[in-house]
Amino acid sequence: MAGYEVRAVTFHAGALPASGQELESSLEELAERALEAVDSASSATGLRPTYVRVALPGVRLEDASRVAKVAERLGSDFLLNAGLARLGGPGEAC
Amino acid sequence: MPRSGAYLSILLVERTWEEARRASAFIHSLSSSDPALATRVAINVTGEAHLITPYYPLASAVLGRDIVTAALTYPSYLAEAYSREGLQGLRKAIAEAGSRAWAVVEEVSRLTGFEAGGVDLSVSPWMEDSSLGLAELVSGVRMPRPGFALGVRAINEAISAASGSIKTVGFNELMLPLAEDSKLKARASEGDLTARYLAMLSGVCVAGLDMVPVPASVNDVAGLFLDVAAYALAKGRALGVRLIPVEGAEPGDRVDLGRFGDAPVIPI
Repeated sequence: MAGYEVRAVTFHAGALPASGQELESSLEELAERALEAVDSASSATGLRPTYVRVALPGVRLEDASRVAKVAERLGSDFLLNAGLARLGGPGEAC
Repeated sequence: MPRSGAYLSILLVERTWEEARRASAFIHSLSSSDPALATRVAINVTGEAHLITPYYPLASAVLGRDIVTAALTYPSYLAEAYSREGLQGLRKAIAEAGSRAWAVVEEVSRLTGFEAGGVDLSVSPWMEDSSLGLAELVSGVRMPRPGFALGVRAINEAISAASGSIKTVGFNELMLPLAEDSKLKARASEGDLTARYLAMLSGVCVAGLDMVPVPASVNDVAGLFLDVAAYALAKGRALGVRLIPVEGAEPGDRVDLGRFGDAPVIPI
């Protein structure tokens, strides 16, 4: 008989610092906190998500590579979404 | 963007040809260095910033707010429920799985202080656990035969009915990402599917044009963004597009998409 899985728990982090080294270290702290909470919640509910994800409101071009670096360090089960970019406008992310 | 777990969405605000061509050119440049990179970028055609859904790459965040959400993988589970008890069984199974995912969200919220945003009850596949399998079962026909779209609509109505008892967030519709669904890859390999047919399904489901490899064409891909934008406006709902333009490819060719395996290129 087929079952179901929690595909992802996603943390929509709207209150992190917007840029720079502070963004990178806050992201890593959040990742650690998120993974701990998901571990505890999995034990309590019996459901372990396949992915733990963090989504950001959007980052500047110069910070996109920081987000990618953090994602790389965290491994393939932890995904980061840099959020929204607008092409060709001021403050674009790519 | 290196081969990490990083994703991005691009917002179309004005929905003009100029803006759509810029977005299309960007996707083409990513894909020409590695088609798998294009799987990490979606075009948000709705003009709606800060979309809250657990699904990538459209997930975003609201400035100043911390929110936690969850999504499920459950097409085969729902197909079995539908086979046993029809649409009523489908609604019941969605509600049951959704309630358990909501318990996870509540517990994580309690532990982190993040606001419990809700569960996105969308039916999304992972390879053999096929959304298309469920949709063909409910519609009673093989995609893309006439009558298929009504089955998709019936699933979306079942999700909507089940969501009454659970706090939901995001899309809450059937998803058909081509490169993530083994059955959909097989249908695409048979040669009957076009990108325009999948775009048309955006009228009845959230991601008709998702993870779809097509021959490279900046203009045609831009036009597909605008067509899906039209469906989003008509539905009054958020929609995304994830296309993988493949340089020099013809319909029927296959492209390697990394962890998604290979997928067939379909005609526009």
